[in-house]
Amino acid sequence: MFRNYLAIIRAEFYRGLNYKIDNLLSIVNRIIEVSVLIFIWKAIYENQTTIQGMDLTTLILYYALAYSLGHIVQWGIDENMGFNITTGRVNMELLYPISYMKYYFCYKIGHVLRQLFVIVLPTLLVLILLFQIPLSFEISRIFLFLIIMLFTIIISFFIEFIFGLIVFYTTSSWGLQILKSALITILSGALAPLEFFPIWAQKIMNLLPFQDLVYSPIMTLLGMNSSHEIITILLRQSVWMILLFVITKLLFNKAIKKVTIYGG
Amino acid sequence: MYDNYGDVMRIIEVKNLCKEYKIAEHNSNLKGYIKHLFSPKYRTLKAVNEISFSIEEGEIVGYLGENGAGKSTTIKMLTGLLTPTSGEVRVNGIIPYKQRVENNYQIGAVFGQKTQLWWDLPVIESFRLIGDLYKIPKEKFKENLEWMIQELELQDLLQKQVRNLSLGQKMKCEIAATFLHQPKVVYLDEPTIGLDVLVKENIRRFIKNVNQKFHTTVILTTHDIKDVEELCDRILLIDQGKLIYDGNITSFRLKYSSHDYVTIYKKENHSFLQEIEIPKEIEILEENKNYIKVKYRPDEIQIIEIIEFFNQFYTIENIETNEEKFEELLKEVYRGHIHVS
Repeated sequence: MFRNYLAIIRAEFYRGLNYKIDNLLSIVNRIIEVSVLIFIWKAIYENQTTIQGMDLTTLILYYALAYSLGHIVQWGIDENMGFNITTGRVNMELLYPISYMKYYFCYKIGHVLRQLFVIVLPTLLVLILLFQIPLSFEISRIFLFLIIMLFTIIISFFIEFIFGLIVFYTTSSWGLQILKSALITILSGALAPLEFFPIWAQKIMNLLPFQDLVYSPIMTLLGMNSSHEIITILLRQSVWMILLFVITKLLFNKAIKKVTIYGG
Repeated sequence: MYDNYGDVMRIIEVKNLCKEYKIAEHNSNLKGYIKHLFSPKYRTLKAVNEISFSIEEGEIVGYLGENGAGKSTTIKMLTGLLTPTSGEVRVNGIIPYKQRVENNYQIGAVFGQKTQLWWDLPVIESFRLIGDLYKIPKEKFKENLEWMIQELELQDLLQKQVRNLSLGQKMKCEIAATFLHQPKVVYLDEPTIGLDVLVKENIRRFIKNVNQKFHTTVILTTHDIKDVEELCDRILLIDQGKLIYDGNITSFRLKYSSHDYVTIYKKENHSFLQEIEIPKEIEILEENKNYIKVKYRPDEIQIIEIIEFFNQFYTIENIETNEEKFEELLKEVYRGHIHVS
């Protein structure tokens, strides 16, 4: 029934498996980055047991999760969209018998599944073994985490799709990808938990969708937020999903007009 | 959409199709840019100007014209990738730019170097993806694929990644992918560009066969006149956005070809041409010790008269006649020496 959707998911999943070295380097890169951060925090924690209510063990677990899961929201479909728009292959994609947005949504799902098995889980495993991180999660928290992650992936799709569509106007994609990646690294809480930011910055970040990409799901999994906060997260995600859907639709119609009326 | 006469189905109908582009006009210096920012000036370019034609199911039509004549713009409007400024397009009853996805199911397209295959998947996986995207029934997919593998000699390529293929191999795979779902209409924009003779022949043979097997309508743009001569029943000639000829090649040639050529091989090595008076209807193009090449207009002088004339002075060993090449004829049209209407 969803044969065409499944085919795209499957193709994208297998496509990236061809790049073995690339995938391996991604893992190594993630591990080095997060190890450096953990060593710095270890030094800071020499003189105190908790900072902003977090002890060292929890913080290390936070970083291990943030850096492995963060890969999903940092490297997405905008790279491929941008490449195809700048090279003109987008015309061929528009000739597939499926809407462009659905096509890329399936592409994103395949992309996420591959990242999960090829990069996220291996990275997490290595980090857990390397820093001997103890794991214990409540079942209910795992369940809530998965729901939030599902929304996270949808939001991340919209953000990437919007960044991809902007390439129709800028006709170059490299700068945009760097911008998106930097925005997400800082605002999502991948660099540091939000408690570590000044209050005014936290207030702004509470309105934006970015913290729900990394910070919110991890805090939920770690059991470090109240049920009241979890409801706020789910509400904020829902509002942003609707908002981003509308923005995406409007921008898509405009961008596609640029192609179909002005000839790209 | 049957016409008044009953049997023939018009699969493509184009009526008064126009496409205009707005082109920004400014000097390419800083002053020019700033001026343009405040009072932008545009000039409109009519890439396609009031074109009308219809194509019947199963036809192979050559869509010809110089670079920049408006060929690709027309093809893009037919595929739905471009919205016309005015006029009508219908492909099998569907308006392509309005019902794009629906239209995509019934068409296939090859655009020069751009590929619908996934760059970093093995060819066979890309074919499977196409099969699933178009929801081709499994048995039909297998049957079509096997036939195409045989026709285009793809057997050894299936496990290779598309990015590792040569240009010719890539184009063959591209063409197989395009016809896999048995589209009603296929647009081939320069399918043989840059390919060697063997691959070209292979592709031409395939297009001929696939047209007969599936009754696919094919619209072909090309600069290789052999493609046209071997494949097309009919040509549409476009110049500066206007359709200037619509009909078959033979009548085009009959109507506009002004000259034929005859080469007369003679036994004598010396020349009498300086001494004799040559009829004004013929023009000597070349003379050497083996042959004389003559250009003439068939409506002014018969070939037999020319031979009889030269027979008075030479012992003729052999003669060779050539029609004006279609390619030459097109060149003349492009240069504006022949006016077509």
